[in-house]
Parts: sequence; structure tokens; C-alpha cells
Amino acid sequence: MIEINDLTKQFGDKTAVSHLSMQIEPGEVMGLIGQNGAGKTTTFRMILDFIDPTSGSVTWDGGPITAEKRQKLGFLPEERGLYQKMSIEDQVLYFAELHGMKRADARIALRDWMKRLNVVGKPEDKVQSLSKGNAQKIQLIATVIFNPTFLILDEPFSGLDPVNTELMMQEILNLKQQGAMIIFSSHDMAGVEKLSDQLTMLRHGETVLQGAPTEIRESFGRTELYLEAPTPTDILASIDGVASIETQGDGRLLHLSNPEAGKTVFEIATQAGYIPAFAQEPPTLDAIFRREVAAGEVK
Amino acid sequence: MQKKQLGIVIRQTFVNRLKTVGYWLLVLTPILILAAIAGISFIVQATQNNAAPKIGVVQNQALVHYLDDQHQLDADIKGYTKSSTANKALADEKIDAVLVEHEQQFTLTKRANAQSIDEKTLQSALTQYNTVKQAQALHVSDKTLQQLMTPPKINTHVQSQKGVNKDGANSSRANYAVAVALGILIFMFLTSYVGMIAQEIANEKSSRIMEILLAATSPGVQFFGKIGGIGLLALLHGAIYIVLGVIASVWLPKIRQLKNALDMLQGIDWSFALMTMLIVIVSIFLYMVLTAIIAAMVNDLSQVQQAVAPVTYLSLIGYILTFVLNGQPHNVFLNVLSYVPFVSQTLMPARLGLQYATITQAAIALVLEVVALYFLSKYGLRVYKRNVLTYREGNITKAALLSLKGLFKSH
Repeated sequence: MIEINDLTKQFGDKTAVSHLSMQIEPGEVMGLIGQNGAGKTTTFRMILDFIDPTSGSVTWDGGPITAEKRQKLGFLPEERGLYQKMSIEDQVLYFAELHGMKRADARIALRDWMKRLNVVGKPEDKVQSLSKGNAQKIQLIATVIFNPTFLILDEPFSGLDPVNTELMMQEILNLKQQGAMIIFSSHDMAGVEKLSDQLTMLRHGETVLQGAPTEIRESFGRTELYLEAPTPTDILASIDGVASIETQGDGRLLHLSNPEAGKTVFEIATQAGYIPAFAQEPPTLDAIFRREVAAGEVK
Repeated sequence: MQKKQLGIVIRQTFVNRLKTVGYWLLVLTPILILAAIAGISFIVQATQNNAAPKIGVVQNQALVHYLDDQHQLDADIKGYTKSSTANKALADEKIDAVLVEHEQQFTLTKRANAQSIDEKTLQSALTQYNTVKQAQALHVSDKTLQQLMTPPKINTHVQSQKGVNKDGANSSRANYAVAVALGILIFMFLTSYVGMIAQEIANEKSSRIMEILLAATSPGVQFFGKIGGIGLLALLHGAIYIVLGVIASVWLPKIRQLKNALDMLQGIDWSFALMTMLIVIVSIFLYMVLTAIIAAMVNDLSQVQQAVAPVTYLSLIGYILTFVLNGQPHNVFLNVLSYVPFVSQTLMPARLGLQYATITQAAIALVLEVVALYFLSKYGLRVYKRNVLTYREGNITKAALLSLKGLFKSH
């Protein structure tokens, strides 16, 4: 288990990360969200011992992250880096060897991974000949080929098209099922919600939200109501607890200040009988994220 | 486990560079240049006209006989009774020069396109001719004349620290020549490998590969792994030259330039060669450690040259001082500098070659280098760790020098 206890990092008088705590169990995925400069990468760098925390600690199974444990730690940095003039095989095997994997095993695994991720090219091809998407896949392969126990992924989906994003998400879920502890950062809220068992939202280094995505969403109440019904908008707007209404596709999205207003909306909308859609849900992670960011800016 | 990772990084750095065209250009270019020089020199020698110049001597049959008999001058001597005949022969390019004597003064008239005449030897021969003539006029016997004209013989013995060396002059000359040649070679090695290690570290840092590597290993493994890998390339480079030298000396002994070089190497004191080699090897590692520390400051590859420029200037100090060393055995400044790490790699071998320093003094310089290497590696690793994942803006040279100030600060 990875335990981060009261981790703080200050650069001069600027606090990059403030009193961050979290736990990641085996087979669990922690999503880290926040604006640029919120402290996500600084958190990763402290976990990796690239920089020393001002206070707090990071432990792996109750102890420090030793050289032996590092062998089972995979890291995908935000700014991707590969040896451009080296062949795919040479560099993936090099990274695998540094993580204690035998070259022969890594060679076999590389072919398997390239097939699974639909990488266009041969292991002997130089990285500079690959497209950006394929190079990103190779980067991911280099990060996970040795079956890491602990995986840190900094913006793993940036620059990927939806098909490749889905492919990569599937592989992350596979690693999770194999028992890996995973922490990743992303701006793709749908992806975060899909992958994460727990998530932490940072704002200017402060932890503003933490917990399971569904719990976090539910904590905001079921204040989003999607409705497809012939009821006039002015009648809906006059209901107590309806804060605002906006058109969304074939229906309307009602923002409620009080979730209880949903019952009244349902009664009025169904007075004439059948309606095609009525869905009262908590706000999406994306909406929560925007709301929290806006709240931070107001402060 | 760290040892295993260190081995992997060394192997990767070594093999990767070994596969590049750049490394083999670095190794082979000096050989190709030498081969080209030797080839051009061979062609020039093979095609040059070796015919002896023809000198016409006017109205002086005695001089004609004297020059012919002496064989001092590599020239065909021909006598002319008339000056006009000699001048016509010169104009018709039948002879290369006309020599005329007038009251013991000689005039040599040459064609512009004449074969080369050794005027120094000619002057010496004419001086002797005049002396013989004067001696005959004074009725000096041939035996006495022979004694008068025999130059004294000087046997040179050099009293070095190791004792009397009968071939001292040759040995010292050989060692100095080798020391100067080594100075050039060492400078070339240092600048090449300083650039190579800087490129290696800067490439990984700027492309963020360093972050992936340091997630798996420690900064120490990367630091010493890179230095080890590039160091092995430098050693291989040196070994290739030694092997090629041996092969050339065995297979191509008839080439004149090579024979001259081999003759010079015969005069080498092998304790000098061994000590020089050790000093040079340690200095290469010393410079690479310093460069690795500074290169860790670099944000992208375009800053490499700027960052390592101070290191190149440092290596230039020892290189330049080697050329002013000859004839200054008691220069305190140079003597002290020859012990100073970063400068000693060229100065001490040169002093040793000139027998201005003993092998013990060279050993002291070597020990000082090893001590400097130990402490620079130990404390440099801290700075490397601090710099290698830090991306700064502004003047990189200034930042590099400031960073070195923190060398002995605790973590």
C-alpha cells in the first residue's frame, strides 16, 4: 500500500502542495485532478524522490521507497521522452532491464504489447520514424512492460485520439486487475471517472475534494435534471428550487438549488402522461471541477 | 542490485555510442589525416627530381679537383676555361650554377629554376679549400694540416635523476617530442569526451528521458554509469591507436615517416610512458566528472557548448603551458601547476619527458589527481542530483559556476 502522509512542498514563499494525504491499495486507481500548476506533478516528483518534501512522508508498505521497490515502479512523465535515434526494441529493453527484467523476456513481451496496442511498426524501427500516437504507445509499453506494482502516470491520455485513449484506458484497467497500485493525473474528467476508484482534486496545492468519484458527485446532491417533456419552460422556471434552465439537445437541463424540487418537476411534467426522458443526477465531475476552480478564483 | 543497474547503464552508454558514425569519425579522422599526410609526402618524394645539381667552375681547375675529391657537396662539378662558355652553358640550362673565384672571394650565379644547391656545404667546402691553399703557401705538412682541420669530438652524457644516461640527449628529445604530441592528443581526447558526456546527459535531460531513468535507478547509477560508459569509449579509442601503431610498426616498417617515429619511440623511457598514461587516464575521468556536473545544468542541447566552454578553457591551460615549458626547468609557477589536477595531465608528462621532474614527483601529481577525482565525484554527485531534474532560465554558464559553489554544501 502507498501512503502519503501530510505531504507539503514549499518553493520559497510559494506552497506548491499543502498537507496532502492519501492511500492507494493494491488494485486501486487514484485519479489526481486539478488545474495546471495545482501541484499534481510536484506531488509525483515528491513520490519519486526527485525533490524532497518540505514536510510529510511517502511510504510503500510502511517503509521508504527503496532501490529494490523502485524496480517495480513505473513512471510515465507528462513530457514524453524517448531516444529518437534508437530502435524501439533497444530502448524498451533498456528500460525493462533497469527494472530488473531479463532481455529475452522483455523481447517477447514487447512484441505482445505492440500487437495489443496496435503499434504500427516493427521493433527494429527507430523511434523517430513513428507517429506521435505510436510513440506514445511505445512510451506506455516502456513504462509497464515489467508489470509494475506501483504505477505513476502523469497525463497519460494527452495528445491521444479517442480510439487510442480507450485502448490505453483498457490496459490501465488490466494492470489494475493484476493488482497494481496506480496514481494518474488527467484533465479528461470522463476518463478519470471511468478509471478511478478514488480521486483527489488539488487547487493551488490544497486538497479540495477527495473520495470515490460517485461519493464526491453524490455529496453535491442530485442537482442536475435532464428533461424531455412538452411542459413550457416558464412553468418549469417558476418551480421553487429550480435555479436555471438551459437547452440541451432535444431536451432541457434544469439546474436545481434544491434536489427536492425534482419531485415537483416530475409531477408537473408527467401530468399529461408519458415523457421520453427524466434523469435527475448529481453534477458531473467536469461540472464539479469547473465549480471548484471558479470558487478558487473568487477567493 | 545497484551494481547491476550500473553495469546496464555503462553497457548501454558504451554500446549506443559505439554504433554511431560520430564515434568512428572521432577515432578514424586523425588516422586518416596522418595517412593522407604520409601519402602526400610519399607521392612528393617519389615524383621529385633527385638529379644532382651541375656547377660550372670558371678558370680554376684546382678547385674543380678539390670539390670532386672531397665528395662533400652532392653536385657534379665541371670546369670551364672561359667565363662566357660557362655562362652560355648556364643560359642553355646545361648547368645549374656558375662558380667564379676572385681573390679568394667566390661568386655563385644560379639559374632561377636550378636544382637545389646546398650552399652551407658549399661554403664549408670553399672555406676548407681556402685553408688548404693558405696552408700549402705556408708549407704546412699534410699531417699537420689534417690535425688542424679535424674538429674536436663531443660526447654528451646527461646526468638525470636516475643517473647517467649515455643517450640522454636522444632520450630527452624523444620524451619531450612524445610529451608535446601527447599534449595535443590529450587535449583532443579531453575536448572530444567532454563534449560527448555533455551531449549524453543534456540529451536525456532535455528529452525528459532522465525522469524515466531516475524513476528506476538512482542519480548515482546514472552519473557513474554515463561516466563509465564514455570512459570505456575513451579507453577503447586509446587502445585502437596502440594496436594500430603496433600493427603499422610490424607491417609497414619501410615507410620513412613511420621509421622516424619508431626511432624516436626507441628513446622513450617506459616508466615515463606508463606514468603519463596513468595521469592521462585519471585526468580524462576527472574532466568527465566535472563536465557531468555542469552538463546536468543544461535545459536543452543548444546550451551544451555554452555550458562546457569553461571546461574546455580549463583543459586549454595545461595544453598551452606545455609549449612554453622547454628551457624552464626551474620556473616555480610551472612546477607548481604541474601538480595541480586539471592542469597536470599535460604539464607533468612534459616535465617528466624533459627530465625536469622525477618519476616520484609525477607519482605525487597522479595521487593528487586521484584524490581530486574521489572528492569531485563524491561531492559532485550532490550537485548533479540537484541539477539534473531542475530546469533553469537565464545564463547557463553563470548558473553552472554558481552551482559548483554548492559543491561542498551538505545535502
